[in-house]
Amino acid sequence: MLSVFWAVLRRDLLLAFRQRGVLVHHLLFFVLVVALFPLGTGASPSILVTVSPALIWMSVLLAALLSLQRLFKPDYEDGTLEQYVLSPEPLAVIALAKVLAYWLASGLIFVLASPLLVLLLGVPVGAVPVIMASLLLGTPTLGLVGAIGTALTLSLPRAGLLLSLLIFPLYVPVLIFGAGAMRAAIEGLPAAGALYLLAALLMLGISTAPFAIAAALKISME
Amino acid sequence: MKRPRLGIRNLSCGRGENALFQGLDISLVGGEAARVLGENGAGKTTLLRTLGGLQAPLTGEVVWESARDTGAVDDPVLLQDELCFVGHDNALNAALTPVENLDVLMRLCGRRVAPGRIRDTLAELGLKRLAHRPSGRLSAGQKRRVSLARLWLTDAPLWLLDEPASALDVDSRALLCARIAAHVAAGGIAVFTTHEALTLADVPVRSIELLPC
Repeated sequence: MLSVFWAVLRRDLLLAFRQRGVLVHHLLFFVLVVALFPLGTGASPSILVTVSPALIWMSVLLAALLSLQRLFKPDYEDGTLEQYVLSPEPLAVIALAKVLAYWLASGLIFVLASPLLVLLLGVPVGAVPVIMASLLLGTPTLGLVGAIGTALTLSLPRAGLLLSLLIFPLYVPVLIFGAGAMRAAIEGLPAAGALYLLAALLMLGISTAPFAIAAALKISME
Repeated sequence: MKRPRLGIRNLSCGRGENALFQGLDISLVGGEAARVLGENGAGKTTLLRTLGGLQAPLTGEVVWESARDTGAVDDPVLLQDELCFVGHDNALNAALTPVENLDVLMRLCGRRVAPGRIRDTLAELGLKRLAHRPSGRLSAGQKRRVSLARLWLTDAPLWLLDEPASALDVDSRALLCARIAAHVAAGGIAVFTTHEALTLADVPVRSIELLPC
């Protein structure tokens, strides 16, 4: 079971490395949304700091939506997904490996890029650790929940819109607590409560989403 | 040694209410091959996918009796543990090399194969120089050969092959036939669909005819 987990994880990380142009696209999208926003609001620092939690989290959500559409699609198109389903190993383990590889190659990069972006928006340096922690706990949940949606819409031709309708409502708790932790940190209030809730959501996601993804993949294969 | 057996009982397959074929009954034991016959759209691919457990039958059941233990089971996971499925698509990622692709495909079936053996097999199939090139740059026939290389690497007793000879040249087709015949002669079962004639020397080839209903 572990052997398959590592094999799939290694394969997807290798693929992400070979196709690193795609990663750069998603990162650029994230950076551009955040960088263009001040041009629309006017450069009043107080406004930027106030809206920065919403801005950062919305751009993370949009970038996730953009990148998630390719999570299972290539495997579905070239027949590898058939082999995943036919594997005697549990499909949920393979699904978890794929989501982990996806997160390491996209979510983690957003987390690492976030300090620069929030400082650009004028957020105090003291809030940066909490902001990174909130993204670190929140982005894997976005990947897990989003993977259920992509797996369900895999066999549909224009799945993008349906995917956003399916998964954005499910992203609401992560958005509320993620942006909540950021806001608390900026205002110098304790953010531990929101971070704990993000961690709880992540645990719930890790323990249940792989099974939902596996079931959705099997439905899409029929 | 006990011989494995693939039993198909009263099988109907299709989508929703529409059955493609009905009431298929056949039992294959180790040492037999079966060729699935039927016109386009008769349900040949659907039959193979159902046998492998990728899709549920409308009625009937697929029973796999392993040579390893006693008793018949209709649990698809036990069958999948002893299955090599070469589908219509090659299951090769364009950005990975043939060696990398085959390594992952074999691990997915729970079998770990040394990279050296994968390279040797590819060399046997005339793909030595292409072993470390991205699979996306290979021709259709070369991709098919890489995908079929699994048949040389696996020890699974049950093979389900969907149009294995598509895009293959004459020499590769002869290699493929020899490999299937050797597998069946060694006590394995192979079920395949094909439009080109595949001649398997010295092994019984049964026919599964799918009639539209």
